[in-house]
Amino acid sequence: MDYPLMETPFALVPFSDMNKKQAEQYFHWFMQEKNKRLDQLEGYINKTNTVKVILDKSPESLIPLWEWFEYHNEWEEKAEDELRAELIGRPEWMQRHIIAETKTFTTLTLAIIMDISIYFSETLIQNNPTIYWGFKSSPKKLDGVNRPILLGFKGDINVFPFTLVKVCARKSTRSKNKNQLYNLYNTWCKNV
Amino acid sequence: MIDQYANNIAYESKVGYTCLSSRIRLQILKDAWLVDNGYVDAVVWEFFRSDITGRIGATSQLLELLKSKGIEYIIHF
Repeated sequence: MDYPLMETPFALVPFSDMNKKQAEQYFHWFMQEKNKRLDQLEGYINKTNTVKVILDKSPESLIPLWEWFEYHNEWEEKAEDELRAELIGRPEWMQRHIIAETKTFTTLTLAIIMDISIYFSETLIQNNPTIYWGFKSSPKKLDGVNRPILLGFKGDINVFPFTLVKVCARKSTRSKNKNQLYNLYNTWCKNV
Repeated sequence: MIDQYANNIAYESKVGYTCLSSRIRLQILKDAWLVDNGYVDAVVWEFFRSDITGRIGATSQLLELLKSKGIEYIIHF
């Protein structure tokens, strides 16, 4: 794959099993790594695009970025063991919903979604000084527990940006809309 | 708190007959917030029959509120 994944130089335990010290170690590594991810993303986009996309952290830059992504949003059939793992511990009524969805994002697309979520976050931070990166180790059921998340919104809302961008990507598989990420940005600005 | 989550869709299950109490109203508003803010692709509420009371479903006010907030619901008669 022509797009290196985000790999830690230390052994990584699942986020849900991390203690606070491990979460802190990951957070510090992530903060050093994030700009490299954005450089990689910009380089990859411009290698695969005819029009130059500049990631200058302006809200408007989210439009050409998403327009590019919508043509590189790839799905594949879920592996059988992946599907089986998803069913573990689920009530019977839920299993039919899980089985109904046989496709998943490719590893490359997930890596790009992760990097777009970093860029989306950096754009929010750049233009909204109250927003910042942080992490939370509890509650354990928190979306993005022990991962870098965005803090500083009204009402003490925590945002795991990867989830937001993944939902956006899923919407784009149904119908393309180059403004989707930009609209999401504006929605979240209302929570500042 | 979401009951179940899969493929970016949140699912809420209710057993028996459910009324639009203030707690349920708040839950619907929170679910609608998740959709409006892009946290989930959609929310689906599913109603199941209670083995104890034999009852199922929800008041018309509750179903109307779900509908007005764009939340899909399924009643498993």
